[in-house]
Amino acid sequence: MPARPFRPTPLAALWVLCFLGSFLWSSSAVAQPPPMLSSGESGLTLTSLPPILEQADIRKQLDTGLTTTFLIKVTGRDPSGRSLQGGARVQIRYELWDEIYQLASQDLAGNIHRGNFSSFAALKEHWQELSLEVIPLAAGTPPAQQSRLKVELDVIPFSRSEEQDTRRWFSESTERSGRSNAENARKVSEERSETLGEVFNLLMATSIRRRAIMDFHWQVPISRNSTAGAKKGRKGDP
Amino acid sequence: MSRWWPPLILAVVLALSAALVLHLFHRQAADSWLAFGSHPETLEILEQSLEDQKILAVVDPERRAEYRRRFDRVQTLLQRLTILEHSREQLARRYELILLAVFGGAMLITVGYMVRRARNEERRLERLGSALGDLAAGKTNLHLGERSRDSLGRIARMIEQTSRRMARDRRRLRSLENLSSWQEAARRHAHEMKTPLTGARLELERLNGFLDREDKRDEARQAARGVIQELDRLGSFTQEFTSFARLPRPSIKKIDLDAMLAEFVGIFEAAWPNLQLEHQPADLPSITADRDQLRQVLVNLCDNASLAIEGDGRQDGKVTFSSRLERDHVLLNVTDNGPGVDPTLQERIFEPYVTTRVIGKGMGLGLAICRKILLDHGGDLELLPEKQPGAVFRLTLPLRPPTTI
Repeated sequence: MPARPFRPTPLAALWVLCFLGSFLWSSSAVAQPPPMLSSGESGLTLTSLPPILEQADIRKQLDTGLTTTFLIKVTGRDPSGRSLQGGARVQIRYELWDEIYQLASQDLAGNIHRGNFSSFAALKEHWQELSLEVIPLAAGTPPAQQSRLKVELDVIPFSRSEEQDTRRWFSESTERSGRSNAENARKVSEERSETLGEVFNLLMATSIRRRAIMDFHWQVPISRNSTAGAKKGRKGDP
Repeated sequence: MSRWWPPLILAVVLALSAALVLHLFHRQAADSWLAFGSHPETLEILEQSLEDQKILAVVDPERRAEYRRRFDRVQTLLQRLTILEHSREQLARRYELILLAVFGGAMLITVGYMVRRARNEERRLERLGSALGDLAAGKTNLHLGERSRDSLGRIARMIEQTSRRMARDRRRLRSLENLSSWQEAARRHAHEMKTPLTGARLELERLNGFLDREDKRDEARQAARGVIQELDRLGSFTQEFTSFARLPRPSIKKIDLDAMLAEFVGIFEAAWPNLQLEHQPADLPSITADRDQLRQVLVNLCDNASLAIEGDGRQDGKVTFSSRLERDHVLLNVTDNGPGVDPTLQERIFEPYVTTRVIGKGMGLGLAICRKILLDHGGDLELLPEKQPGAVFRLTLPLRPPTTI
């Protein structure tokens, strides 16, 4: 019996495309192991954050002295189909004068944690031991086990206050240069050009925005962990 | 509008080309500007400065606070430049967007202005064209309301000036014509009155010589009849003049025009020995007219035709009556085969005292009376220019009576 020649059906082609797409989509996650999501009585806790601080780009970013923000977003559905959303924020700033790393984290349960670390190794260790209650559950809600949630992590290179400060500085710098250029112009045209210049500076300055320089995402299964929340509130090195 | 498209399209193409050039080169300019701020050497020197301040603080602990302040300042600057470097792409994109928006806005305003201007000039040209048409149609005292000082405004003012000049010339001409008409009327009146008066005076003088002589009784009676004839002649002149001045109002009734024309031809076929009357019947609705006045008009037209043909020394004259219906009136053409009307007189033929006859043979009031009659009927009397030789007079007769008589 002669072998049938292979003819790709539309369904097969769709499967291949889906596979390639999911492979490419998850390529960034391949480099980093996923964090862990465990359900406890109070909610879902994210632990074992991947060692992304070691990455060269992030290390370089940390050493600039700017406040690097790690935004964590968790989304998915519980077994009853209800939408789940949660997240946490971790900010790390390297104090260049004192040469210490300052870390501040806050989760959706309202837990705030601060710590100073004298070495990068200590920071890295603490990072991996962080425990963040990303989705606090109301009393009586069954833990969302046997399902996977999407965990996204965005690396934002500077804080909102630093953004505002740079915008202000940028506007003032360009206004000063505009004013000196207009010194020889007539008074009326000077006023007009100043007004237009202010509008221009405002439009330019507002384009300075916080945007993620890196992002990671994983599909993380929920596991039952009796020790969840035990590490919460651990302090860093003084 | 079509003649405005080429420059408009050219302007748009030029503007788009300029936008393209700007788009190609402004990004480079924006990048250079940003690169100047975040130059690697600048950042390196600032980083070195940070290290220096820290070393100085160790070497000279007494001024540690000062070095710390300097350190903070340099660090802040370095961080701002780093943030700028992070936002470089966004800044460049915003810069591009602003430039394109400004340029696009300027282009839209320019195109809008050009379109508006083109439409405005198109309207002005249409107004000028319409004004020139009015001028060609003989309208005067035109007012275009153009105040601009451009070429179209100047042309508009020239049209207004021309129309004013035409009005002035027309008034002057009318005045001269009236004067001329009155002179002619006075001359004719004087002659028409003087001729019978002179005749009557001569007859009276002759009669005076016969009064005491029995044997001249017959001559006296003859002279008396002569006086009466001359006075009758004066009376008939006065009557004609009075009939023009006091033309009675028409007594409007429905008339079957075909029947009336047939009757007219039957009655008057022997009235003018040198004329043959012909009626071409048509199936027409009734008209509204004063039968006697309409007959007076027809008699007058036939009389004129007869005299004109007689002046040519011919006996084969013919007058044809043909009519047709047109909308709400009937057109009756009275056509003769005479010599026609002198072209120089055609425009004034219906004015009083305009005649080709010698003095003493008519006052030139006949056609003026005829036209007045038809105007009183709500119709008109015209001389059609197309037939030469011969003349065609067109009578316009309304189907319904005029609203005001």
